[in-house]
Amino acid sequence: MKILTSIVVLVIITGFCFIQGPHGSQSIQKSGSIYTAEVKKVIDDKCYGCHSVKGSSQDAKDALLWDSLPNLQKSRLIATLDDIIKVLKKSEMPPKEIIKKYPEMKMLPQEIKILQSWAESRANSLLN
Amino acid sequence: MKAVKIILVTLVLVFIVIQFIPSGIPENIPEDQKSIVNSNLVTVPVLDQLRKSCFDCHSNQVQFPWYSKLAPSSWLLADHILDGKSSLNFSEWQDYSNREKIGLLEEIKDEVGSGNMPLKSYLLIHRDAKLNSEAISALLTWADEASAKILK
Repeated sequence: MKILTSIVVLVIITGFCFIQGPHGSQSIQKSGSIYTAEVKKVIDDKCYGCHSVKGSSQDAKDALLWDSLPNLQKSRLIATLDDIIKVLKKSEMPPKEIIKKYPEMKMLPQEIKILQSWAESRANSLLN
Repeated sequence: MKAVKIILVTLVLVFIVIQFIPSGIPENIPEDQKSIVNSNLVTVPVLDQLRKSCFDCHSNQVQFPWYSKLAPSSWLLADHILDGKSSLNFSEWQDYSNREKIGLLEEIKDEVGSGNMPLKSYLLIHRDAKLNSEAISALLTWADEASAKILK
């Protein structure tokens, strides 16, 4: 009986994880001044589900947390922006397996352009 | 007994034939102005350490070991070198933008600081390339100073 109860609890918890999915209904906590409204929308729609403290993938959280980005030290911030640009250029995000499961998560060319231009101009302003 | 003989002869023949397949190891190119060696970012001790621990996969100045001429180990080596140079090539340092340079210096800090680099498989044969804790902290300090110089 105990085992059966444990299995039911586990199934319910797992179910909740899947309902949340990679998108969820979250939004960047402190938008601050570094994200424009259109950049924030792209991040909320396509990135934030995994790259926020509530994301389920530790790898994704280790690689990038949008909420912590403004607090990074200057050289680390430039490096992270450089990473974001490279990932966007190679169309590596969102990962293929996520897109397969949730086709609506695929980034549109316009969204890639918005995020990439923003990252490039942020990095340039830090370098000049 | 005859079967063992056939297998051995086949193995020897295969070994001989695969020697004619190009390994794809890139050739060394003499160092020029693009190299980090000719930048103002490196001191002599740092450069010595980079040459000893990093240049074999991250530069056009590879010290080829004897097994680089023998397949199939040469194929593995080619793979390591091509992969390493596509991530970071100290010989083409000046071709990187300042943004990329800072990105690479931060990555060096992550990889060296976490002990991921040099690769364990490389250290098995190149024991002198191993970084002790003193060498690691010297490289971490160097990477920070180099970033600060670029940002000036």
